Formats: sequence, C-alpha cells, structure tokens
Amino acid sequence: MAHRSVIPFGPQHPVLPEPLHLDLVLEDDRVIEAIPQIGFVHRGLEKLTEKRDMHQFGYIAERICGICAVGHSYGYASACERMLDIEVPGRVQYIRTILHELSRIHSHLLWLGLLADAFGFEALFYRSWTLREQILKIFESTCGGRVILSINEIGGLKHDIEDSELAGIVQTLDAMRPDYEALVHTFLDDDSCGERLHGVGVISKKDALELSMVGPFGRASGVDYDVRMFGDGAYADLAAFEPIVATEGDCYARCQVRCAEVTQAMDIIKELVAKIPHDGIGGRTKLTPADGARGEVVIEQPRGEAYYYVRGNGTKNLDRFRVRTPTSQNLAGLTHALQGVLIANVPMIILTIDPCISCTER
Amino acid sequence: MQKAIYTTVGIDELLSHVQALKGVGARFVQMHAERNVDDGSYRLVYTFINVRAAQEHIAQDGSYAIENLVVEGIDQYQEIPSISSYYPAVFPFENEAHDLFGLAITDMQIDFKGFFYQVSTAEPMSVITPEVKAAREKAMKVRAAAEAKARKAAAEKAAAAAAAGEGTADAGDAAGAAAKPAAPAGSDDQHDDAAAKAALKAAEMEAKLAAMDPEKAAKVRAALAAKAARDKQKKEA
Repeated sequence: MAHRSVIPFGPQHPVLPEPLHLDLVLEDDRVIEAIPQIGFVHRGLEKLTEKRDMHQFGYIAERICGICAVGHSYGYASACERMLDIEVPGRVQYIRTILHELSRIHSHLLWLGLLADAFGFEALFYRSWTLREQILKIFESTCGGRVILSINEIGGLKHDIEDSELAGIVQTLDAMRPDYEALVHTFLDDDSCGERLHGVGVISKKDALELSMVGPFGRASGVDYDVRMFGDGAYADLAAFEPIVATEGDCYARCQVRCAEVTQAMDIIKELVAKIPHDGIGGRTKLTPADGARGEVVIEQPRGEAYYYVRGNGTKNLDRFRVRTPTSQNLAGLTHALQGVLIANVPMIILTIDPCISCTER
Repeated sequence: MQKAIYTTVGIDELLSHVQALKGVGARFVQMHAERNVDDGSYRLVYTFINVRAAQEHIAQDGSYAIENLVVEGIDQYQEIPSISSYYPAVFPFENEAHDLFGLAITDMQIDFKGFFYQVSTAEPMSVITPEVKAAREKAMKVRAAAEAKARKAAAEKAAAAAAAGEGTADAGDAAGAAAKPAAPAGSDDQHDDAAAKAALKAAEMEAKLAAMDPEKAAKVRAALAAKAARDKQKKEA
C-alpha cells in the first residue's frame, strides 16, 4: 500500500524567486493533490486609490511588478482613458505597443534563463540573460530606466521616442536574432534540455479551456487565445497576427511557445516602427470622471491575459481599481498540472507556468 | 475595439446566468467585489469573454464585447453562491472577496476558510475611511451646486427668450425691457456665483477638517471662528 504524506513546498525554495507555498499531498513520490497558498506579501495596492489620485496611482500601478511594469502602466492608463472617454493619438498607441512587446521579449528571456538555471544548464542561463541585457539597455537609453520606465500617463506619454531611436531599436533586435536563434536551438534541440521538459506536467486542451488558462501556459495546451488577436490599438494595424499555439501541453511546449513569441514580438516591433504615425504624444488630462463611470481593458501581458478595471466616483480618486493578473488565473491550472507528477518534476512544472507572485500579491 | 456590457442580475439568478455563459463557451476572466460608499452595500462583478463571438464581431464591425454580470446591493452576511462548479479558476477571487471584503461565499470548491491572505486587519477592503467619505460628500455637494447653477442659467435663458418674443411687437420697448432686466439678472448671477464659491470653499474646508486629527481640527475651527469674528468687527468699524 502506498504511503501518503504531505510536503510543504515553499514559500522559500531555490526554484521560487518569490514566496509561493504549496501543500503537496504525496503517495510515495507521486503528487496526488497540490493546494496553493499565497498572501505572504500581499500589499493591498488596490486600496491605495483612496490616498493617491488617478495620475499619482499610475506610478503605483507600474510598480505592481518589476517584470510586467510596462504592461501594468499601459493597462491602467488604457482603462482610465476608457473611463474618461479619451482617445489617445496613434503614435501613443504604437509606442506603448512597442515598449510592451520589448517587455515581452525581456520577460521571456528572463524566464528562459531561469528555466536553464533550474535544470542546471548555467551557460544557457548566462546566454539568455546576456541577450536580455540588450533589451534593458534599450529601455535605459529611450526612457531612462531599466525596469520602471514611467513613460505612460493617462492621456498619452510623458515624452516621445524619436524615430532615430526607434530605428536603433530595430537594429539592435536584428543584431540579436542570430544569437537568439542559436539559443533557441539549444533549448529546443539539445537532449539535456529535452529530457527535463518532454512529457512533463501535461495539460490537455479540454482541461486548459475548463480551467480558463491564459498566456503561453494555455497556448501550449492548444488554447488559441491571445488578446492581441482582437486587434486593439496598434495591433489593429498589423498585417497579420496569429497566436502561437502548441498542442503537446507539456513543459517542452510551454518553452516552445515562449521561444516563438520572442521572434514574433521582434517582427511586431519592426512592423510598427515602419508604420508609426506622427500625430503627437497626447498629454496629461484633467481628471473628471462621472460618478460611477467605469473603464475596463484586457491586454496580453508576457504571462497571459491581464484585466484592468477602474470605477470613478466623481472625485480625482478612483472608487475601485482592480487588476487581475495572469498568474492568479493560472493557479487552478497549476494545481491541475501537478496532479500525478513525480515530486522531482514539481519545480520544473511550477517554473513553466512562469508564476509572478508580485503581480498576484498586488 | 473593446466594448463593455454590464448586466445587473439578482443573487438568485447568478448561477443560471453563469451556466448560460458557460453553455455558449464564454471564458471566465475575473471576479471582484466593490463596496458602495453611499449605502455601505457590496457589489460583485463577474467578467467573461466569449472568444468565438468576439472574433465574429471583429470580422463584422471591428468591435468585441467584455461581458460583465453585476450583482448589486449585497449585504455583508448575505450568502452568495460560488460559481466554482462552472469555472474552477474563480477560487482565488472568491477566497479574496471573502478575506478582503468579508463576503460570505458558499460552496467554494477550494475554500481557505479565511486564510487565503494573511491580513493584519479583518476585511481591510471593506473599510470606508473618513477621508473617503468626506471626499465623496464634497464631490456630491460640488456636483449639486453645479447642477443648480446650470438649472438656473437654463431657466433664465428661457425667460429671456420668452421676454424677447413678447417684445418683438414694439422694438423700442423691447430694447428698454431687455436693458432693464439685464442689470438685476447680472447682479443676481454675481451674487449666486459668490454664494456658490463660498459654499464650495466651506465644503472644501469641512472635508479637510474631517480628514484631520480631531484635536487639530478643533484648533483650526477655533482659529477660523476667531478670524471670522475679527473680520466682522472690522466691517462694522
């Protein structure tokens, strides 16, 4: 008869850069149930709208997470603009999208590095992060910050990015491509990587849909859903956009999807830079929401669909700000993916959903 | 272009609406709670996207909808059925509504019994602070004053238009009639403006005082009263 035991996993664990706790119920060395627990570093940022007005809160929204910072400020500003019925110029939408896609590249490269580190391939980890460094340098040269860019504000941008700088971004990305392709070749074709990833933590398409999974985690299981395909903002002007989908639903498929999304993001940036309009960058607007006015948007963050909701109350402070991040949506999928796996594979599976606890603990 | 659709439903209809959305293949996006500052009641918002329908709409007119079910007027201890049997991904949000707002959600598939978040204050998101209340009251006063002013301006405009219509028979009289009421109307407007400004200033000061430490607020009130008395004396002198 199998021996049943409960093992606490986290909140401190080498594979977890942030505090996530799982109670793993094991039969011998196989997980039969995983119960996640978060809330160790919950900051209550949504409540801070009472103390900070809508413009001030933009800085806080951006600081929800250090990896998805650009996306958070973009989503928050877009939701407020929808509530206030503001239409931003096309250039603003393009620059926001370009920065958002750059952020996707740096997030996925960071994740690839962590994945390599998790299965002990240190050289691959260094190479991933060396490439990521180039994206951070683009951020620094165009916006002054490597992580927190503070360029978005309600109604537009704080400053423009010159056409020459945008051309420089495309040049940098083009120069990165050969190195990136070599990196992807190692991740996807090297046996030492493949053995740790193939057939591990499989989730079927049916289960992924049932569990409302989002982002590369869902798309690796065949869920062809990516918010960008709805064509909001600058995405509407792309010649074509197809979500990157894999069907195997295992850790390898998740890696495959993210690898392909980096190349896709590079192509999107190149296309948008070629088409960018010159109709101004908008600017700070007066905060006069009607009592009960609401605005909501969904955007595709690097980790998946993120939802932003704001509700005005007639003052310059918001009545309610809500952000639903991809990781909170994928918690149900995580618990499902862990059922029936060997305990040795638990760290790898947790890593391949790319959990962002900062986002979840907003 | 995203559009938002809000459908208000009763608590007893919630599950049937969620079941219908599940039936047409809608994706669950999120669920959150809000507290109404005016009456202290709670509101729940459930968000869904029907991806296939969205793609069809985009092909037709370039727009798609985010569908929201809104449950209004919930009392804190009123039982709310969990939708986790239809959408298991809702469990973090239902536990969050319980821990941060104190809402009683029943039959959750994964129920942390109040230990999902480690909070130092019970139901922290349900707290309505004096600052929030004062700001809300001030906004309502300002809005009421603006509406009253707009109503008065509209009434005066209508009266002036009527007077102009009557006076067309005698151009000379009309010019005189238009000139005469103009002066008192102008002075009334100035008087109303001054009164509205004074009321607004008083409301702002009240809001500031409400947000202050009570001891400090009492001192400020005393100083303001003394200043008002001095001003009055000066005027009389």
